[in-house]
Amino acid sequence: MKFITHLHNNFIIASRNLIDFINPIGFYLISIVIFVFFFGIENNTLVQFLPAIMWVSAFLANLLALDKLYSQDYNSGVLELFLINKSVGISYASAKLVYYYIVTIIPQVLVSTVISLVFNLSYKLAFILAISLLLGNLLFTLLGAIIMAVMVNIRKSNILTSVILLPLFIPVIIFASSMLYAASHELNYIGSIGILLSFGFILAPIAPFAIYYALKLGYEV
Amino acid sequence: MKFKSKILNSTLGTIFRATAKYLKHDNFYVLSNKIIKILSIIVFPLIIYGLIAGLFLAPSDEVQGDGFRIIYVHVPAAFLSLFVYTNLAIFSGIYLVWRIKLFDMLAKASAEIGAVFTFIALVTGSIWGKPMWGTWWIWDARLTSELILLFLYWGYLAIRQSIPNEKSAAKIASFVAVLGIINVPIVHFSVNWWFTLHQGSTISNFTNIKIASSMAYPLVAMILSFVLLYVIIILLKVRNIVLKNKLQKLDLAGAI
Repeated sequence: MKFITHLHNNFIIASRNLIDFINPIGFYLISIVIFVFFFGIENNTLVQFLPAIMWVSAFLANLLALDKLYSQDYNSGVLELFLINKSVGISYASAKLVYYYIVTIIPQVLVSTVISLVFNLSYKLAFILAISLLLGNLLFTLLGAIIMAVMVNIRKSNILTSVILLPLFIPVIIFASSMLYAASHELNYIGSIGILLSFGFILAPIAPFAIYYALKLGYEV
Repeated sequence: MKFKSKILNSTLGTIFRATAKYLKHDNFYVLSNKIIKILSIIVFPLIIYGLIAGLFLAPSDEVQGDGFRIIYVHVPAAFLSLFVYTNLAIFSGIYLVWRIKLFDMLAKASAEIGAVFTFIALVTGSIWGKPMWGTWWIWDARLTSELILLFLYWGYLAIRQSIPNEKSAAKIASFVAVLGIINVPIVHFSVNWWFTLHQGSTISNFTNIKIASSMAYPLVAMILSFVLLYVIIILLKVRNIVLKNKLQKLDLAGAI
């Protein structure tokens, strides 16, 4: 099967259970609101911490959403058939990545941009926050999809996955935070964007192969 | 398949075949006994020399007085924490490629020891930091990357603990360990970079101090003896696992 066919199938399935990709956005909004209660709306602390709040909320929401990445195909038994042929398996993996990015990450980033403008972030900072979320969540998707693939056979692996994923994700968090810090202090932030992009360019071509291998390993288990 | 046969026919393959008979658990059990005996004869004089020369004979530091002597535990433990993680990833990679069970046992034993060494390095570091820097903890680059290393060990051990099926836990854990070793240098450099952007490196100069030879020799001796100690401990641990598996095969594990 071709990449486009896989992608088409994924979108058809997504369009039939819309609730599955509205839920992560709901979770994202609710967790941001919880932070707002703690920080209060009086002073400027909220604006100062808004990038951190959004990153933490996006991280948690994606962790929950990634859990369902392969579960439907796994439960229906289709996944095993996709793994028989290498080219089919790799195109399946890359289609899953693209599908997840379009269906979960991009709506999330759009919502977060609206929120940051509502909370009176400057246009420039809101734009950079959106870019950092787009790049950071891309990397998170790539890493998380690999880890989820190896755990495909394990029931209730949610907390375990987060314990494994967090340390692997720390370099991305460091560069994104320094990028936002530089942007809010009128410093040069292009370097951090470049490093995040280079992480993406290195990881994105490897990820489908890694996912295919990890899924095979996960199925052997 | 083609790849495998190519390796087996090369000179590397002859070395593999020569060592292959020790990959059988019975032969390994006999061999490890000999290695442990030899290494313990070496390690005990070495560690006694290191401790006595480090704690009593070496001159006290000009700035820190006798407080610096914790270096003889702290630096070897910190060195071991990285060294053991590298070994863990190599063992896991070998297990993933060739599916040799012995290497998985070595990896598991290494992870437990490595986590302990990382913890020792963090604790002795903060005990050292309190009188010298005036604080237990500071978000310095080295400390942060050491902490993340502890989290990586934690993840590895969490997989082994929480997945009941031994074989599946082994495969998943070794996959994660191999992913983790790619991450270790990235974490190290990114954390360094993060701090050189934000604040002047007042503390990293401290680590660049060259020490006198009367202080350095005990330190080298301690690092060597820690490495040998690590080898002895993993061999002992793997011997235990081999025995346990034997007992399970004989169906005696329930009786004990």
